[in-house]
Amino acid sequence: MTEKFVRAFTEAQIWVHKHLIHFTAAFLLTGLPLISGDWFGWIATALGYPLSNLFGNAYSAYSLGLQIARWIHRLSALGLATVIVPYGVLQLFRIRQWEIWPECWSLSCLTRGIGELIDYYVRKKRPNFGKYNVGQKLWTWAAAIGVIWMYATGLVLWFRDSFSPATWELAHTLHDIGFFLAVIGLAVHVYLATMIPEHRPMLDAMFRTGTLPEEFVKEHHPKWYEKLKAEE
Amino acid sequence: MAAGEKAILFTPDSCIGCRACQVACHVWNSTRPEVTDFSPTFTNPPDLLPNVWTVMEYKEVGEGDSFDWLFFKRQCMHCSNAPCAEACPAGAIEVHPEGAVVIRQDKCIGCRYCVEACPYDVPRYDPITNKVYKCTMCIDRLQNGLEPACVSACPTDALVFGDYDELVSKYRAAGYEIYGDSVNDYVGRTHYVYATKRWAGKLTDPTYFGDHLLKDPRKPAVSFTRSVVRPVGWALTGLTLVGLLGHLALWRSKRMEEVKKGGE
Repeated sequence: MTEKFVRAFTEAQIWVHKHLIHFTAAFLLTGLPLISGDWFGWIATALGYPLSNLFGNAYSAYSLGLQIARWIHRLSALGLATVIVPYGVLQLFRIRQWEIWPECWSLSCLTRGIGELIDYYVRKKRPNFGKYNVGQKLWTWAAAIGVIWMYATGLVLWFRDSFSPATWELAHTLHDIGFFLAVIGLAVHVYLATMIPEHRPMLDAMFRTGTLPEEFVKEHHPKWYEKLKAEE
Repeated sequence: MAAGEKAILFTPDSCIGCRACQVACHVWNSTRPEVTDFSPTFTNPPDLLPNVWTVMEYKEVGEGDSFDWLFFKRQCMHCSNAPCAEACPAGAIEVHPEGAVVIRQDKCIGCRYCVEACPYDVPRYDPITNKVYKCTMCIDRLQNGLEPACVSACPTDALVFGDYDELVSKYRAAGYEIYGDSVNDYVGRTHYVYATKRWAGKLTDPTYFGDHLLKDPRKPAVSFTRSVVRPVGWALTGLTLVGLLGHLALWRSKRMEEVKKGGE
């Protein structure tokens, strides 16, 4: 019997996610030496050393590396904008079809969702999830809001002459807070996506095929499975 | 001159507003003076600039029938805790044993984090060179046994230079009120010290000198980032990684249990 597959992600989603990873890696690598030179200064040295002879005495290798890191950081922001702005605008046209809206709007609903997450990720049970569980929905919202947060504060820092010193200081603090929240969120996201063998089909779907085996959907996202069956 | 912590002490009581210090600073550091018009006050240029590292400020103050003309020398305060140095990601700001806080131009990347961190609003960014400039306390002179240029040029001893504790003790014993030897936890103490008898009680009064000699110099956002956001951020990141490792172990043990049960 041939295995049946269900489409989970569109080609556009796969493409955007892939570039989100590239640009996020660039943001982290170039931001880390600025936030903690003691631990991540080696990144600046690695970036600056090869070009340091070209710049004579204008910069030390380390400072040149930081300068290069800052420019890569900014160019990455432009690069990411070219990917996510058109995608985000297109998504707005199908806002009603988004599958990241909560199923219900109450505190008890949220606590039930969190309980289901604990069942799924800690007790290894199979709650009745739809296409996305509460954790995946919250992560998607947090990522979207986080991107806007980092752009808003980052643009103030980039074009600081257009703002008051008090605004840059606040933007810098908020950018730092955003950095830590992003690192923590990404650590959890990457871990859950890659380190749980039972969830590997999701990884294949997000990076390669865009599809999930029907049996996986039936077991891990039963409510979504039922919905798909009802639509057939 | 012996090594050790030094101070430049400025007393407005003896200052005659001749600006010899301002000129000496330009001459020694080869910084181009600004061509300016008369500002509303006699302060000229009206503020610190990338090439103007010290400014004599002229301020008119009066109470009732009395009238005073205050002269105030403004420049980097050379803080012992140097928030600018702590904020600099390039390690371009050095705090010397003498107390001088010096920007190394070959290391400065023009990020202006030092400008954000300075509560005294001193470092000045030059968009042409993409670097930040300020008073160096004439570290090149100090290291060669000379006094700072501004001190050498002062004709009235309104500026004096010497060992920190000795100088402060001497002036305090003579009845001067001092600003700088113990300011707050953000800046520590400043190596530019201000002393007055004539305006005792007015050093930190904003009408007199207090617009620059702040009672509690601090940048709240910078202070919050440094003392809360970063330590808490790194701690939470570490805890998250430990938690994920714990989850990995838990998940593995559950899988092993399942395999065992399957085999039975």
